[in-house]
Amino acid sequence: MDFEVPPNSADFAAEADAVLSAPRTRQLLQDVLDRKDGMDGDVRPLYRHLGEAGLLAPAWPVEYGGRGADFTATVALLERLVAHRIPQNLYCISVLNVGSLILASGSEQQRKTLLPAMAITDLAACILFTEPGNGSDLAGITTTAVPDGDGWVINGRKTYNLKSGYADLALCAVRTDPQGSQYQGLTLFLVPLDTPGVTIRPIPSLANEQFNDIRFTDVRVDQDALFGRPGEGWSLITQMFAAERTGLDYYARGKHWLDTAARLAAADGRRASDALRVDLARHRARIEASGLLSCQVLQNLQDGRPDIAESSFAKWHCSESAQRIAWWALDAVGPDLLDPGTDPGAQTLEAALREAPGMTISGGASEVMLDIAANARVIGNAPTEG
Amino acid sequence: MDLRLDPLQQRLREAVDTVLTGTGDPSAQLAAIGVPALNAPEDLGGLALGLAADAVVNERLGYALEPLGAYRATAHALDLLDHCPGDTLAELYAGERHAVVIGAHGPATVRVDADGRLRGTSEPLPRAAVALCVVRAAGDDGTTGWYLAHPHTGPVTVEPTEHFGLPATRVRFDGAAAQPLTADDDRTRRALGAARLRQAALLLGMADRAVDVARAHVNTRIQSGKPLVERQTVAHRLALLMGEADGWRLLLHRAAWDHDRGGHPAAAAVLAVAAEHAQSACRTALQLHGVRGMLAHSTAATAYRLITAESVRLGRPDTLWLEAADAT
Repeated sequence: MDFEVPPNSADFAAEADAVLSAPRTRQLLQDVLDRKDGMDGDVRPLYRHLGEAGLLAPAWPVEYGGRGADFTATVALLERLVAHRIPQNLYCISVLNVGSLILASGSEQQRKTLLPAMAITDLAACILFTEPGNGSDLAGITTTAVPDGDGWVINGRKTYNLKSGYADLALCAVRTDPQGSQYQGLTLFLVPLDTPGVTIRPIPSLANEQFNDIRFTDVRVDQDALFGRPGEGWSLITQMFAAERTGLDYYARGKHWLDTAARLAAADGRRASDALRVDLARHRARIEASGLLSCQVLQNLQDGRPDIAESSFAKWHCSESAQRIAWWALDAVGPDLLDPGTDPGAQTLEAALREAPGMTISGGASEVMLDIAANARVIGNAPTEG
Repeated sequence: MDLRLDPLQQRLREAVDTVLTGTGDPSAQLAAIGVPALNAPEDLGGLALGLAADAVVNERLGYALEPLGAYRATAHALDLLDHCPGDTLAELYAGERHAVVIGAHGPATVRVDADGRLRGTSEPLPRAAVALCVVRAAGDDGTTGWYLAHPHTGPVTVEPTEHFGLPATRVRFDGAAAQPLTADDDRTRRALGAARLRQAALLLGMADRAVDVARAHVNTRIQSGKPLVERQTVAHRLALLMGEADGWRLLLHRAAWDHDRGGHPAAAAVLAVAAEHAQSACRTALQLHGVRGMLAHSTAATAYRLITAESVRLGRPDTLWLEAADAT
């Protein structure tokens, strides 16, 4: 094994630090944190600034707007976005999830037209899978797309989606063959969200970023909105889950929260109790293991060896680590954390406390992740043992 | 960055597995593939392949439930020595005799008098034909230092004993002459760190075996008309243990890699997580076996006994965590 970070990723990390610390970046970040739009705070101008600096898609090929770096550059970027308090959800959804799927499985035309724009946030994408009646059970999707001339007409409803209000395009899972099996009848579309018939309604959330409820009423899209072939949706979704569930964003947040909580707990020269210091060491070891599991998934994805079970466990591990750290921060810092005042670190941890419960739900509930891991590694194929 | 085993690690893994399928003395068989000299310093005629290689060896020893503690004790001792007589080294590298390290992981139970003579009895040590003893002993003024003693040159008794029902050795010194060692604090710390990482590798290997034994059982044991594994409470517990092990193994290998490059990784924390994980794995394996696991010679019981002893051999997890906390 080799744990050395390549020199070009180290150089990229230093470059990212410089851009993220620059006054222009801080001003754009403040605009987001001020929530001038009355919603999450529009992060797109900030992302465009970072995209123009070439930071957002370091591991994509150069011809699609990236730098051709390896996965360690993406890890360095996420760690730094979090450390600089840059909201990451739209980036993760649009670039890391949808963009990476387009890179892996889109047509050459889609790669050429969409990826360079996504790498600089001239175009942002969201994911519309979850529905009111089925939650994350995608086999139960009821939103439909019906052929209509040279296009399709979509009807249905998606809900509890993040960042739809800031997206130009939605990767949407719909049923195109009601007669087929639960899985065979699914198809993916890339739907422009300004298409007539699309309505987006925000739903307030416990966390800082709100959910959205999206309705499709006779939404007509062209053939080129198809992603993959009709009926290919399930295999593409599975492929995307293997790439989405790296756990990287959870790891990065957990690591930052741990550093922040440790700093606040030691403020004013206070010496923490042995119990608290031991907890800190335990969380430190576990979040480092989370990071390494995430890197393992990223390496296998880079090498063309996606493994949904490995990804699912990494997502479980990283989200559980981060959640535990967020809850531990309350013990470490104390009740003052609930009224964070103007301290940026305290504000981050107060928000983390509200975000933490959702970490083991969104992006694949922990119970489902364990089911996938158990099916792949525990059930059947048992070793012969006495 | 490459988180897969490298070709050397792969070959070592396969070689150790092959050797351990034999029926002869494991120490001698491992010697045949160069394992005792693997991590020994070049100054002492070793191969100095580093902990990254040694971690793989110890993981596979653990998986085979062949702890061979004398091998790790010998490696620890060699890390503390500047020189060693050639005939003794030959015996160590042939796996015929071994070194023991006494008093490294707790209070010094052996005392050294003003004339440099050792008195006292060691903690339980791995069962071994002892060629030399590296001893941390306390002087009359309470300070401790490291000494080298040869069992054949003085009043030293090597007594076979049992430790939690496992073969062990105690060494008693009754005024044995000892030679002070010159290892400085940094060298002593690095040697201790390396010993902890080897032990962590052993424990993670043992944990893997305990989980595999449990996995085999729950896939075949029918209860209320279906295999136990079809119950989510069973399958999830094992999936958790397998996945957690993946994370701890990467942490171990990164620490070994860091150590090999002259770093000072958090070995106390790595051993603590490995010990706690192994304890959890073997206790879960026994629980999932039901009363069958309680049979004295079941594999689950053997894993339980071995892990219980090895998980505290180099220090209790709670004290290791305190040390890790101080280093954070």
